[in-house]
Amino acid sequence: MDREPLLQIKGLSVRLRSDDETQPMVRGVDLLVKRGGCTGIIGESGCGKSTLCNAIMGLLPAGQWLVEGEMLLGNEQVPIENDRRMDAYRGSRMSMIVQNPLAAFDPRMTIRAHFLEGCPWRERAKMTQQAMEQLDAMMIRDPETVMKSYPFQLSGGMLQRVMIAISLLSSPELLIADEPTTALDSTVQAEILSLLRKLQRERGISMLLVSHDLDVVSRMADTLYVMRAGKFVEWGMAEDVCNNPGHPYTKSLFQLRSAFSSDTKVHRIR
Amino acid sequence: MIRYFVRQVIGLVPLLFLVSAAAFFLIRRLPGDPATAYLNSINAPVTEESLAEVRGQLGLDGSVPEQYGKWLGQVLKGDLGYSYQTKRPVTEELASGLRYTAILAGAALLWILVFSMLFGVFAAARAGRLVDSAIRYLTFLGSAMPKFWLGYLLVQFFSLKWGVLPVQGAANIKCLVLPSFTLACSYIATYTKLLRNSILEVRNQPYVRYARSRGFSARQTAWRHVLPNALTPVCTALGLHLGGILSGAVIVENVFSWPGLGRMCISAVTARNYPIIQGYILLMALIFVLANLISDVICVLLNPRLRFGADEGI
Repeated sequence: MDREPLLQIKGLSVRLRSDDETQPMVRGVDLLVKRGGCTGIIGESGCGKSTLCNAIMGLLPAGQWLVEGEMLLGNEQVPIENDRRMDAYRGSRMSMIVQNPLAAFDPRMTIRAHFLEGCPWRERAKMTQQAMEQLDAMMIRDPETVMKSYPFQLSGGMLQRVMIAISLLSSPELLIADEPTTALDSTVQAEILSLLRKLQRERGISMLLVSHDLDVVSRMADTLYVMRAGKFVEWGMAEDVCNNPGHPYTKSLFQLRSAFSSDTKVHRIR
Repeated sequence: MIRYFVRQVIGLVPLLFLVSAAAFFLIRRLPGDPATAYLNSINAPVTEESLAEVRGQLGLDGSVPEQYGKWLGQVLKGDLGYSYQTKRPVTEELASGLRYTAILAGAALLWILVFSMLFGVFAAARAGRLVDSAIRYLTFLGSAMPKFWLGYLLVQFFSLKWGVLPVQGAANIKCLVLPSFTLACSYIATYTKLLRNSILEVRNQPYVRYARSRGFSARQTAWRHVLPNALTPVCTALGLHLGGILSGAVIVENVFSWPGLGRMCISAVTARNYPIIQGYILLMALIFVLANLISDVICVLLNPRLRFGADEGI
């Protein structure tokens, strides 16, 4: 099952500009997401995962950030170094769902207003209809009430479903999920993950899943990248990486997991 | 929500009682005798008999608590008494003063909104650059400058040197420019700073980044998400300052001879015109409380969280 590549990144590096020097956050990474596949990135917080996602989405303002490298979406060269020119790709061809859904919605706006933002007046009825259908597909029982609600009236899990619905509304080629379940409690986490898996299976969505949670990534991803200090230290098929980790950092990640899940031995963190 | 407002309005009653009592008894502790001041003002000789007669006319005979009781009875019927000097009803005098003060405050509000929006947005957009620092120094200057001095400076240049605007009076709209700007100046400084910082804070909120990730440009996001959210604290503060703007007009009105409440109050104090002073203080208390209520309403309108959380919250 060798699928064609959708997203190819070569030698991507991201630096944060400060007064007279630049600080590297992502140091020359190569990344591949296949069409219809799910690529996972795992790494501890602060290793540059979110910066990488934001760079791919073109969300790093050029005044503060220096983004270099090459990115292909399908066969098309994407101007990843220029955040303004990325406006055309963001939302329509690539969508993102972010962590902490409660903070991600504008507190003054209803869910309906979020769906309709930027929509021309003539198409509002159509858009509302599509939004309701999409919410329905997210297994939301009462889409009408949800549409009328303000973000603070909904739970984190509900908002995360709404966010997924919004991101899928424009039928993007690539869905980037940056820690989609981190802010949720574990039962809701499981629900969201199975929803994402279902969507991926049924609609053939290509996904880039980023998390610090090994469980989340190993359940979803077919390809796995292990990130540390702005670099990928190991990558490959998810099973291979999980069953036979090569890099010491990956090994320690898996050891930690078994230490926590078995509860019998406690390993010292080296 | 409605219960909250009803409570506020009911709470107003004892407050006004307290204020009225304080106003009534405290101004009578002032040195100086209103009857003498009155006789002086109409150039009548001050003798024992004329003093006694005037006291009778002005209702100043009898003990102070007695006078208070009589005055309070009238106030409850909506009658604030008569000005000692002009003999016109206090309500009429206050209404005419309030009209001018409201015009002045309204114009000042316009200055405040226009300039603080302009400066605040500009400073935030260029945060950390030269323009930002320049605006910061300007706002320091604006908030540190005493109103009366600024007023005289403006008169010195705009009226005396260049002759573009009148020195004082309230004859036409041109007369409004200098006093309202003088009144607005320190508030412009405050609100510029408030808005700038608020914009910078909101700009880093996750919902702004998420809006950008949905494909909206930086400019679209700024108008739809950053500015409306950043304006919330500004509107709240404006509501709270409304009373201050109206009562702070005292100095400006005196510098520019603007026939508003503040000027009326100062001349009433000089003439020991008790009914006017009492009326002024009552009116100001009322205005302050109402302004706070208005700011609450604005807050609720801007923040859906308060609109729906009313039952558990306030």
